[in-house]
Formats: sequence, C-alpha cells, structure tokens
Amino acid sequence: METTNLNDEEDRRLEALLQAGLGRPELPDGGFSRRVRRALAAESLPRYRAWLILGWCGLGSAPVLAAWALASAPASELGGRAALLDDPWIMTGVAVAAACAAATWRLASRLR
Amino acid sequence: MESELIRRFVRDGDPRAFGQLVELHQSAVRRFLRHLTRGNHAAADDLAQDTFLQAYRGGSRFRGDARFETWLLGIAYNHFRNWSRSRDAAPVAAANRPEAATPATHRLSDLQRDLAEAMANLSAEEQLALNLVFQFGLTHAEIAATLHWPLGTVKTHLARGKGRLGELLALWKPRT
Repeated sequence: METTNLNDEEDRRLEALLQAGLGRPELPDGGFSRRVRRALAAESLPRYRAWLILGWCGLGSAPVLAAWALASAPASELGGRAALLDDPWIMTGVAVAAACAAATWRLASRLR
Repeated sequence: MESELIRRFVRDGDPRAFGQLVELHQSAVRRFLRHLTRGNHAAADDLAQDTFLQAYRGGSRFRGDARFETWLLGIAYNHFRNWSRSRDAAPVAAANRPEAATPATHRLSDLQRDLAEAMANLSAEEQLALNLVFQFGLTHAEIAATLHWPLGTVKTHLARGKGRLGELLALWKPRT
C-alpha cells in the first residue's frame, strides 16, 4: 500500500488508525451470487430457445408418435422388442425426447 | 486459484469460473457500492448485479493490467455514476455513516465510530480516496484508473483528507 509520508510519526499513527478503523469487513453472500447466476442464465436464454422449442415439441410429440406406431403395427409385431427398435417413428420420437431432456437439463444446470 | 479462474473466464468464457469469481469478489464490490450509495443496500446490490453482468459480457476486455477486483470496482463506479445522474444525486458519496458500511449486527468500536464522525467532515472525494486506500487496498494509480481521476488529483485528495483527519484525530485515544 502506498503512503503519502511515512517518515512522519503522526502520519504513521494516522495510517494505523485508518487501517484499524476502516478495516475490510467481509459481507456475507446472502444469496447474492445465486442472484447473479440467475440473471446470467436469463440473459443466455435466447441462445437455448431453439433447443427448448425443439425439445418441448419432441416431448409432446414423442408419445403421440409412439402410440400411432404401436396402433398401426401388425398385431404379430406387438410386444416384439426388435420390431419396436426397427420402427423409425418410434426411434425418432425417442431421439427428439432425449434432445428435449438434454436441453432442459442444460438449462436447469445453468439456473441452479 | 483466482488466476486460474480468471484465465478460464477470460479465455474460455467459462460461466462456472465466473460464478466462483462472483463469490470471491461480491463482498468488495457490494461494500464499495454501499459506501457510494450512502448505505442504500437495495440500490447497491442492484448496481453490483449490473456490474457483474457487464463484467461477464466484457470479459474479453480484461487485459490483466490491473487486479481483477480493481477492474470490477471501475465498472461498479461507472454504474454508480450513471445511477446517480439518473437520480440527480451527488456523483460520489457525501457521507461515511458507520451504519452504512457495517452490518447492523456488528457493534462499532470506539475507533470506528469516532473515525466515521471525523470522516464526515471531509469532502466526498477525500472520503472516497481514503476508503479505497485503507479499506480496499488500492494503490494511487489504481484509484486513478478506477475513478478516472488524474493521479495528481488522487494524491491531492488523499493528502488533504489525511491532513484534515490528522487534525481531528490528533488527540484520539481509546475510551476507557
């Protein structure tokens, strides 16, 4: 720390008083850091908007696609795991739902 | 530790590193703004939030010439000046009320109380310069950079402030 006149006895005494009297009291965080993180996350929401729209559309459409695929499948294939995995509609629904979950998770982790 | 966080934030824009830097420096930035806003805690915290948001956006502009905390205090002071202009308030703090700088639960010592009373006799600029030296540990050059004052002005305010305080506290002794 710089001083203005260290040779002066009075000056040294005054600086000691100032050091002791002003000090450096630490302020408790009290949720402030969390508040800043939330504000930062809110700022970056537009960057995630496309993912979120895709994700929520996927979440909504996945069960519909799966139900449609199951309803339209021949009776003999129902319950057959291989047949379900071969169905492109079901796999598309699963992939989109997974993308939705990933986007939502990423957003949630930023908001924590 | 801190230098690694700064490197991750500035080079990679790592939000988690920045979050840790907020935790490290929130106390200094909020205390500085509480002093400037004369103990208006709500306004100080709003300004502190704006300060950190701007720091996050402009992280690439941090060159490392100054300490990270000094850089943050400079941003905080700019936000305070804009805020005080919008409120038509004085550009720097005019009072150094002890309750403004310390938590309500913290009992003030005789020295803190007497020093606060003596500081109230100084100009706002003298108070600010003295606080930045003795409370925040800034050098004269750092104060000049933070407040956008010429170095000579910083030295003048410090010398005048200390001279006046020297007179006021010449006979100071702890009360018994």
